[in-house]
This record gives sequence, C-alpha cells and structure tokens, in this order.
Amino acid sequence: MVVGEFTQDVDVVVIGAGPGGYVAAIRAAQLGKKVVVVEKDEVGGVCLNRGCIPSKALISAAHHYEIMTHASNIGIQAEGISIDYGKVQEWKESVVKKLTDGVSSLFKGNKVERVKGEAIFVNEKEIRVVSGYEGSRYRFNHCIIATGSRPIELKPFPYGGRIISSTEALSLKEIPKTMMVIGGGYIGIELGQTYAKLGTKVTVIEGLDSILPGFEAEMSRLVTRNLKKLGVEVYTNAMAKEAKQTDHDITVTFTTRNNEEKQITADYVLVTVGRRPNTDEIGLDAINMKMTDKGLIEIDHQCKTSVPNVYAIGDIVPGPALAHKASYEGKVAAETIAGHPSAIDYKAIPAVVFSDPEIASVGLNETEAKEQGLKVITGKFPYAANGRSLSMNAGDAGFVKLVANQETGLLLGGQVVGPEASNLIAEIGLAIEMGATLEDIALTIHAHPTLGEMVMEAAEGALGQAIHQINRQIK
Amino acid sequence: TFVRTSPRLRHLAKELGVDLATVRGTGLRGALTEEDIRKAAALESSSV
Repeated sequence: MVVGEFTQDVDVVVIGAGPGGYVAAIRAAQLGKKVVVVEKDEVGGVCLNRGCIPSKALISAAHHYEIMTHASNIGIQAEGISIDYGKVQEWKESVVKKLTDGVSSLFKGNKVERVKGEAIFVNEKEIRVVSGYEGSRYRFNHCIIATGSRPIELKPFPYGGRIISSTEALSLKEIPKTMMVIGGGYIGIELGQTYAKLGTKVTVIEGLDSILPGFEAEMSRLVTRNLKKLGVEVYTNAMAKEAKQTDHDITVTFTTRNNEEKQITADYVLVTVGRRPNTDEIGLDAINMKMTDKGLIEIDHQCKTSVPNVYAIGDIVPGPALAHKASYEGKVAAETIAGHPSAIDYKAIPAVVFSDPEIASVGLNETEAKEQGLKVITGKFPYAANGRSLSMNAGDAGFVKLVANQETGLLLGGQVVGPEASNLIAEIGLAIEMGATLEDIALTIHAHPTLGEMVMEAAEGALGQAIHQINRQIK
Repeated sequence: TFVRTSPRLRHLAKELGVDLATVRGTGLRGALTEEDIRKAAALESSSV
C-alpha cells in the first residue's frame, strides 16, 4: 500500500465520466446520494472529447465549406474561399471545452465529487484510484461501471505513425492530400466524407457487401452516390492485408471483390473497424464479474451485474454503442440504486449517421419486420416532392419511410435519408414509444412548409391517401 | 410484441408493481389505459 493512502466512504462510486457515467452521477446525486466520479481523462468521455461532438463540429465545418463552393446552381458564386484548418481545429476544441466545462459545473452544482485517476477494484465494496504515484481508496455501497470503449486495432495495422484511429483523425493539424479509410461503418464514412469535402482524396475499403452495414441498401446507396460525386473511391467486399510506411506516406495492400490485389498510397490510413469494451484493466477478476464471450458485462433490466451492488452501463454492456443508450442506462442504474422502480424499458433506440445525406433509423426496418414474421405496410415519401426540401436545394436527397403493422396500423419503425434526418427521426421515435398508429401521425397537423410534413405524408401514403404523390394500388 | 402504451403508463405500472403482460387493455384497439393499470394494482393488493 502507498504510504498515506486513506479510505473514504461514499454511497455511489461511478467509474467513468462519459455520457453514461456523468448522467448516472448527476441523477444519483439528485436523488440524495453522495457520489464520487472517477475519471482518468477529461469529463465527457469519448462522446464529448473525441467522438460525437468533435466529429459533428468537423462535419459542420466541411458542410459550410461545401455550401460556399457549390451553390452556383442557386445563383451564388464565391471566389477565393479558403480554409484555415488550424482555426477550424481551434473552433472545434472550443466547442468541446464549452461542453466539458458544462459537465464540470453540473457536477459542482449537484455536489458530485470528481476524482482524477484510474479505478481498480480491490473487492466488491472497494476500489483503489491511482493517479501517478498517488493512490486513494473508496469504500462504496454501490458502484456504476461506465468505462466505455476504445477503437479496435487491426493486427497488421497497429496504431502509430500514419496509421490512425478516429481520435487522431479528429485532430489532424492539416488537411491531408490523401487518406485511406479501412472500415465503411458510420465512423469511417462520417470522417472519410468530411475530409473528402475538405479536398482530401479519400479511398474507403469495406469488408462487407455495402458501406454502413446495419442500414438498408436503399439508404446506404444514397450515401455511396454522394461519396462518388466527391471523388471518393469505395471498395466493398475488400480486405486490407498489409501496410508499408515510409517517411512521407503509407502504402496499403488489399484484395478487391474479385480477389485481385491492389495497392493504394496515402498520407494516412484511418482504421475504423469497430470498438472494444474497456472491461480489461479495472480489476474485474477481483470481483468475479460475469462477462459475455465478447468481453461485455452481463446486466439485467436494471443494469445490475452478477455482483449485487455493482451496476454497468454504456458501451461495456450489450446493445448498440450509442451515447444516448448509455445515458438512458445511467439514469436507470442511478434510480434503481436510489430505490426507484426503474428498468430498461424502451421500444426503440434511434441511430443516426451524419453522412451526406444524413441517415437515421428507429425501430424495425421493413426487412427486420418481415424477418420477424410480421405483416407490414410501408409508406415512403421523397424529399423531391416536399416544398421545404426543394426550397433548401435538397430535392435530390432521399426519403422518409414508415413501417407499420398491416393489421393494426401500429408504427413499428421509420427510416429517414436526407437533410435533418437526425432531427426528423425524433418524432417517429416518440410515435413508436406512444404506440401511435399511421392514422395518429396522418391526423397530426404538421407545419407547412417543413421537412416534418414528409412524416405525415409517408403515413398518409401507407394508408393510400397521400396528397402530394400518386398512391399505390392497394390490394 | 408492440402493445399500445405510453412510456408514462409503463413507468406507472412499475411504480404500482403491475405486470403489464397480465393486464387487459380497454382502450382503443386494446390499448392500456391509466385506469386499467390502477384497477389491476387495486385487484392485486386486495387479493394478497
């Protein structure tokens, strides 16, 4: 034991201050608990510091640049547009700082104590926090583990030098001339497309049939189309094999769909093939934690683990690795600890990709609903027939699609591809939670002219009564 | 699997210790109403 190490008693220890951990800590404190949050880096976790927020800031900057340079078809032509990428990065950092400062002041306002260091379980009632040469111990009644995840490393492509993860891609000092993206999931596509807009020559290779696996082909196709317009080369069914670095570039060898070998040389290789849970290195073996074979912690409907007073939330438990899922679980865990009858009880979690066009999905898509043996009815309304969309110069974007139970009209899911898909999905999510039917949505007056009208008209379309498109023959 | 209830009613059921799977909805197309849940809770507590 380190000399001078003392033990402090607390109600609740939260390990990790990401969107799961900080929300759990605040809610627990609101409910009268004495809470300590242990965080080894910055508060806000991956989402605020090197995930959701910085990526959206860069996407926004790239979007502004594209609008300035590509608005001649609406009569606007600018000259001498330039990017000061150092300033873009500074601005992004200022956005991150505002939000992390916000979390810190919420901690203060709710009397949550923040401790910097790495937490390691000593036993079921105690953790040790190590920071440099100093250590301290906390004895707790309850603990919430919210340690998040980190990028998966591909064996032949260890991070370092010109092989970068999303973290480094978000903080490049200058816009690279060329970039290779291994992994066409949402992180790879968001970052790859952003740099393509800023002028980088981008190549994406994806192992599966299509980029953005998990979303229906009719959605990802529209993103592929826009990637091509930006000059991005996309190789699907491709496998990365090896990389060779020199002082000034890196060459990647990969096999294409037809098993041909191909080489591409780039300034950087961005590897985004998934994330792995941070369940190692926190001493879970000391408390006999039950894990799944994927290294995730098993939890019940109240986020309780196999260790009675220890809870787990976020990317380290099963389910989609999304910030809003982590926050939801954080509240459930905190409320359960405070004796409230809370439980994980949602019908759907929305998923959003900030690609161009944006794509968003909530609940079941048509394929999934049919796979479940449900008789479904769908309604689809195109951006091309929406007045607001055309007035935004977005008539070539995608669609809003609703999937409902054919017999009851109950909404099962919705998908949106196009500008503001990320915001439009919220209404569909609420409708699903409320058990709304297609009629409920069709009979709700939506403001005109707005993109949201497409949700109403997709519902009308499913019912065979759309106004602004010709209705299909209904059998 | 999709029963017509709102998140608020599902929370109420938990507070009152009512298992929604055992409650028959009397609302539109079998939707659960607040009254259905309160009645089920009263029944349960009187039968104990």
